[in-house]
Parts: sequence; C-alpha cells; structure tokens
Amino acid sequence: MKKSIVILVISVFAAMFFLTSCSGAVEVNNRAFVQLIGIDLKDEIYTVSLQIFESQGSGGDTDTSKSYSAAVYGKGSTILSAISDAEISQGKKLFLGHTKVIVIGKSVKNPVKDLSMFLDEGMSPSCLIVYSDNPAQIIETKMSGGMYSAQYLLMIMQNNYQHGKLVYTTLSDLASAKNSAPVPVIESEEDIIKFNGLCLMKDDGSAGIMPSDEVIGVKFLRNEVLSNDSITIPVVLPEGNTAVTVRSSKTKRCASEENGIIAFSVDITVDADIKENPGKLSNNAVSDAVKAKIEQLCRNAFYTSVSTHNSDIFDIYKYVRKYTPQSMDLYNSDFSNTRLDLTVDVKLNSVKK
Amino acid sequence: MKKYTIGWGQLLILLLLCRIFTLMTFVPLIGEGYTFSTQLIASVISTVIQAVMIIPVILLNKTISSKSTTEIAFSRNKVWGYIVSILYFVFFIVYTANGVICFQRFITVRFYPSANRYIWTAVLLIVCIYCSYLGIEGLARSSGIVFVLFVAMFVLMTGLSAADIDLSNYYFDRTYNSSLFSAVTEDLARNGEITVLAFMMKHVEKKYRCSAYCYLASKLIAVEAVMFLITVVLGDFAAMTDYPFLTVGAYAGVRFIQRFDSIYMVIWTITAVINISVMLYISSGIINEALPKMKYKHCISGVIVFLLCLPFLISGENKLPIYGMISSSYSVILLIMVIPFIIYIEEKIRRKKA
Repeated sequence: MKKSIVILVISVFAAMFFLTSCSGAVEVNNRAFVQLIGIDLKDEIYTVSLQIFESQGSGGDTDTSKSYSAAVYGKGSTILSAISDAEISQGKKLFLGHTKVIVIGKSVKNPVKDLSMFLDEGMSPSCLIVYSDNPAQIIETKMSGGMYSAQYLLMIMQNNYQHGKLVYTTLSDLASAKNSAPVPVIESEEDIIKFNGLCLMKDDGSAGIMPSDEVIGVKFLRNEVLSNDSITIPVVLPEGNTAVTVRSSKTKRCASEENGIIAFSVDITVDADIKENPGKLSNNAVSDAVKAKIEQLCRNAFYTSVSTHNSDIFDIYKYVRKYTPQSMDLYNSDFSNTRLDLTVDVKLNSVKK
Repeated sequence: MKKYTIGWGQLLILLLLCRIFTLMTFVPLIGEGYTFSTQLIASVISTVIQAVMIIPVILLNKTISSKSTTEIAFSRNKVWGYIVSILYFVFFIVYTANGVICFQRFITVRFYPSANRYIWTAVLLIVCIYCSYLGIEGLARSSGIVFVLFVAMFVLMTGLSAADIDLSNYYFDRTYNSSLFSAVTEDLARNGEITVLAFMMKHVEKKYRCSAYCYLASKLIAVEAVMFLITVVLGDFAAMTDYPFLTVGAYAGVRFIQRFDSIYMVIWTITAVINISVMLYISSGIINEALPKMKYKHCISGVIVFLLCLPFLISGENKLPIYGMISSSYSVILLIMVIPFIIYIEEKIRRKKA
C-alpha cells in the first residue's frame, strides 16, 4: 500500500514538472497572427506583405478609429523565404493559421502551385483568395484613422457577395480546380477598397478578367445565390421601369455530348419579389423581362469565360465526368466550343404597389 | 464458473470505436487510380468478405463459448497453442505499434510540430497500459461515452458542412474498376480490429453472433457515411489533403468555432487511447495464457510496442514494409478465418471421436 502511494506521489509530481508544455513553447506575446497576405513577384523575387493583428491593449477598448493591424514585408526567392524574411523584421514568430485572405499579384506566374504550398503550412483550406494588380497597396490601404483590418475586408467582401458582385474562392477551390477558378479582383482607389469583376485564374496565371456586371450570371450558373442575398435585377421596358429582388434561386446542371460538342444544360429556378413598380407593369411582363435579363447575364458570363478565355469556372468538367465520362477527351481538346443550354423559370411572389 | 464481463452491445461499440480510430485518419488513395466510388464499393465488398471470414469464429463460439481461440488451442496441444499465441501476439503488437505511430504522426504533423515524439509516444503508452490494466469492462464502458461524443461530432460536422455539399462531386468512374481488388485488400487491412473477435469470445455470454454482425453492419454504415461526406464536401480536394475528415471539420469550423479541429483532436485522442488499450489488453491476455506466471504483462506489452515504435521515432519515417506486411489483409484472413477454422474442425473431429 505504502509503495503504491509513493509511486503515485512521484508520478503526480513528475507529471507536474515534465508535462507542463513549457519547453519550446511560443507564448502569445511572442507570436504574430497573420490576417492578410499579399504576394507579388518582381524580377523573380517574391515580395510578401503581411497584415498582422496588433492588440492596442486590454480593458475593452472600443475605439474603432485606432488601428488594430500592422504591416510587415519580406523578400525572397520563394514565398516561404520571403515570409521568413518578414518574420526576421517583425521579430515575432509568425502564425499563418488565422489568415483570412490572400491577395495574389498579377505578376505571380504559378499562383495555384504557389498557393497550394500554404496548405502544408497549416493554413485553413477555407482561406479566401483575391487578385490585385498591386497586393502591397491593398495591405496598406488605410481607413480614416487606421488601417484596413482583415475583418473589415471580409465584411466588404460579404456585402459584395450578397449584392452579386463577387463569388468566394477558397484556397482549396483554387488548389483543386481542374481548369480554372474565378478569383475576385480587388482594387484600391484613394483608400477605398472595391471589387471589380473576376480574374479567371489558371495554373499559369490569369487567363482574363470578367467584367463586374457579368458576375451575377456566374453566381446563377454556379448555384451560388443564397436566400439571404440581396441581388437586385433592374428591368427596363418601354412601358416603364421596375426592379426585382431575388429571394432564392436553384440551379440544376447536367452535361451531355451532342454531335461532337459538349452541351452544358442549366435549369435555373428563381424566386423573386418585385421591389418597386412605378409603371404598374403586369406580373407576366415583369417575369418575362427578368427571365430575359437573367438569361442574358448568364450567357454573357458563359461566353466570356468559356468561349473567349477557355476557362471552366463553372466546373463543367464535374458534370462531364459524372454524366458523360466518355466525353472527357472532348472536354480536354475542345472545351471552348461547349454549348450552354439554358432554361430560366422566374416565379414572382408578390407585387408591392 | 466462468464470469462473462461485457455485453454484446458493448463489444459492438468497442469494435466500432476501434474502426473509427482508423477511419478518422483515413487517407484516400485517389491519386493512384482510385476514386471515391471505388472506395465506397470496396468497403461494401470487403464487409461481405468479412461477414464470411468470421463464420469460423462464430461456429467456434457456438461450440465452446467460454474460451478464446488461443485458449482452445492451448487446451488441445501446448505446441499448437504456443504457435497460435505467437501469431496472434505478433499481429496485435504490430497492429498496436502501427496505431501508436499513426497517432504520433497525426498529432505532430497537424497540431504540435515542435513536440517531442518520444514523450508523446511514452505518455500515450503509459495511459494505455493503465487503461488496459483496469480491464475490458472499463474500456467498454468508456467506449460507449466516446461513441456518443463521436456521433455528436459527426452530426454537427455534417450539419455545418451542409452548405458545402455538392453532389456533382460524387460520380461513378467505370475506368477505375481494375483497382477495385487492391482497394478491397486495403480495406481488409484497415479492418484489423476484426481479429479481436477471435479473442473476445470468453468475455461475452450471449448474442456473440449478433454482436459480430451488427458490428459489421454499423461499421459499413459509418465508413460509407464518412466517405460520402468527404466526397461531397471536399470533392477533388480530398485527394490533396492528408486527413480529409479533419479538413471537413476545418470547413465546418468556419461556421461554428474557429478551431473545430481541436474538438476532433480530443475525440480522436480518446479513441486512440481506447483502441490501443484494447489491443494491449489482448496482447497481455495472450501472454497470460502462454506464460501464466509472468508478472507485469501489461507493462511488457507496452514496452514491446514502444520498442517497435523506436525505428519510426528515430528515423521519422511513416512506414516500414515489414509492419505493413504483418498487419496486412492476408494476416487478417489467417487470424480470423484460417486458424479458427482449423481449431473448429479439430474440435469437431475430437468430439466425434469422443
């Protein structure tokens, strides 16, 4: 009995001293939490701009004019060496696990390969990717009294998303994209951040830019219109003007091969409310006009992406692989000739007079 | 009079939890010509094969219910008993070592890259030795609680991932049918815990057959559900990640708590402890049958496992071919089907003669 008590006491004390996890640990005050990463390439040298969360002190300080972020920079022949360089200048151990957004520069040659590396560095696969001509400028963009924090950027992105101005592309989406992925284009103008279209991102960089007014079409074709979005579709008719708000949308997709051409069939069912109707247009007239408008938006988006830039941002390959696997060779060789068979059905729920 | 210690339901949950341990760090082999549809079909075929494979154990249990396969072998012939015991012991010890290495790799790669591998392994084994020393009853009771936690986590994960589900990610690719055979053998190897049935006969009084077949059915449901979730949520990205189940958790975490993977880690750690403890309990049980006078059997089993882990800990390698061979599907077939079948036939002949 005595022997077992002695062993128990020794074990407890040994555990207390040896299992404290103190050795080799990095304390929070010695760690810098990266929120935003900007990556650019110039003369084969990578430049990384890192936005780091910086606490202004404790005690429930709610002064939003203060900056809660700081920017650090690093250069190197690879992205990781550039981050190491930034770490040296920062003086703290960098933690990439909380990175919310990566801004990829125009001149980065192999964006997919370069960014996939971050997955091995413990970065969340749901980290968002945006595209910019000048990533460092985005990181440095200031609000009145302080710097843009990643949280603010996310809020702006969410607003744009809900209004149909952008689609989200995560690190995992980019890494696993078969052909290309749509990456939102971010711009900074006089300290104001705005999103302006989509970059059709391929393995070897941008294949082209899709204009902002076609992004709604991309959202419909990709089934990314959510119930809490507030997408407004203006309707212009000779009898008068009106606007509808999309309440929800459902997109069914399928692929088939017809006469040596891949046909991508899309059925969109839209549930919408008439927002304003000063011309007192009939429901049928509005419904037909909305249908035509959505069809036009989708066809424009499809044409820009598939026919013009040979970019599969609608994941057509998944439907070819699933419904007509024997046509994968045709997909690989003649993708830009893919045909869009589109059906749009609009249901107007109520007329607000 | 023989004392039965656990119920058939407890055995079912215990085995299921051992399978969940492997499932939680399931690494798909899509890049090598496999697709998820192949994996899903392979699991069904593998389960059917396992249902056939366990028939000798079920028959043996019907004939002599109060003894394990090794005990029956010992009661007939000492030499035969030693041969059978060594085969089972080597399998269980190597299987445990594989589990420890798998756990150690997962923890150090995903959560604590700077952690000392030796300390991780030693601490885990000390806990598992103590748990196995407490006996199968305690492990069975704990497994019930852990199983509830796992189900809760899975339901939460599925619910939170619902928005990311894309059914176009699931497809059936006929061109990969040639890899079906190797996918089935790999699935069989991943189900090494089925050999536990050859040892647990003495612990369950009633409904042993029910326990075994319910386990196979529930395991199939669990495997298919997890793989289907991985497929429809991650799609092609699943092939690019080491631990897809953990990645699904990371996705779900975006809408719940920032680090959902920490919940995953806690549950997987407890599952690892139960799995390794069960295997250590069986290994020390086999030592007890072969060498009844030996002391500190649980500690000896634990030390052997630690020694087997040393090559991995020193070199930092993930695999050693010899370990893979010992815990392969062929070993599973030998231990759960061939040996129990020989013992059953031997018993039948002996009874006929008597």
